[in-house]
Amino acid sequence: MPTALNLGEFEQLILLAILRLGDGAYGVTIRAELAERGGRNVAPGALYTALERLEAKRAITSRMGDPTPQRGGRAKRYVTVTPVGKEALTRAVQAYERLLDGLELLRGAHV
Amino acid sequence: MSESPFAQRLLALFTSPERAEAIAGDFAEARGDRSVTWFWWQVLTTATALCGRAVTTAPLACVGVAALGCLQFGSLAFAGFAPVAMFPALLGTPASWVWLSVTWWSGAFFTGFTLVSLSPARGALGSVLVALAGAALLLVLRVAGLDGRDLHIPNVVFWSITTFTAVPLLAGASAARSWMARAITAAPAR
Repeated sequence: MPTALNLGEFEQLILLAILRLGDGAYGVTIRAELAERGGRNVAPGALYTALERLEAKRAITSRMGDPTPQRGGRAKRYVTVTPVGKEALTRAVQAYERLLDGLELLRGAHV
Repeated sequence: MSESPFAQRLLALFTSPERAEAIAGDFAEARGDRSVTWFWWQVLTTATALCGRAVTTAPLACVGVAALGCLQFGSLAFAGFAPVAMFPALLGTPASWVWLSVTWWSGAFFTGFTLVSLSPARGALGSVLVALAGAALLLVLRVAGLDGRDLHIPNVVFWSITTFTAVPLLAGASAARSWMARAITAAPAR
């Protein structure tokens, strides 16, 4: 029986950013989304190694786009979340919800 | 963005050519009005991170490739030094320096080329590890007083050898990558 894919917190954030971006998810936009919505100024090395890791785990797939002049004639590498990635992300979110249940952490009841 | 091609080649040492192209393109796009320093900081930190990932993914394979590189580079360096050592009268002469320099730097280049040819995924990292091991060895010899001061090796030569050996190693690795990419492109489709 194949073992379930486990995701780290950073990997979960990246997958959520990719899902939000839809067809326009590539390095620059993912980094911007993580900064804007996630409040994280991510180091590029951390992002690209995480993307390689997620692709190795089959949580995402990638395809090359067309070269553009503002990129010095280089193509974008668009990424999309696979069903395996979505399933792993759903399980992670459900685990958070179960653990948060009753804590009222978001309302400050833990203070 | 004239720096992009070189940046792409550097990144391609540690990841696939397509990923390197996309990453270099991302930096070129995000750069905007930012400085060249910003661009190269992004490139170098990303190359370092990708290099680190290669180590953590398969540490034993990396050590094996590096050990092979050390063996090859050590053999080539010894083969370069041996003829000079056999004729002590040559020591310190311009001819001996030219010979030693050529064998050292070309040996480093050939080692980088060989490592990538044998292991495309880890050859460049192996080259970095060989350079680090070589620098560490030379520094240990320096501290122990066995760095050939009796051979009258000038300080500038010693420190340039210690510091810049990574350059021909990575140049050889990059040349091998380009050669392999061209070979794949030129191969007839079946």
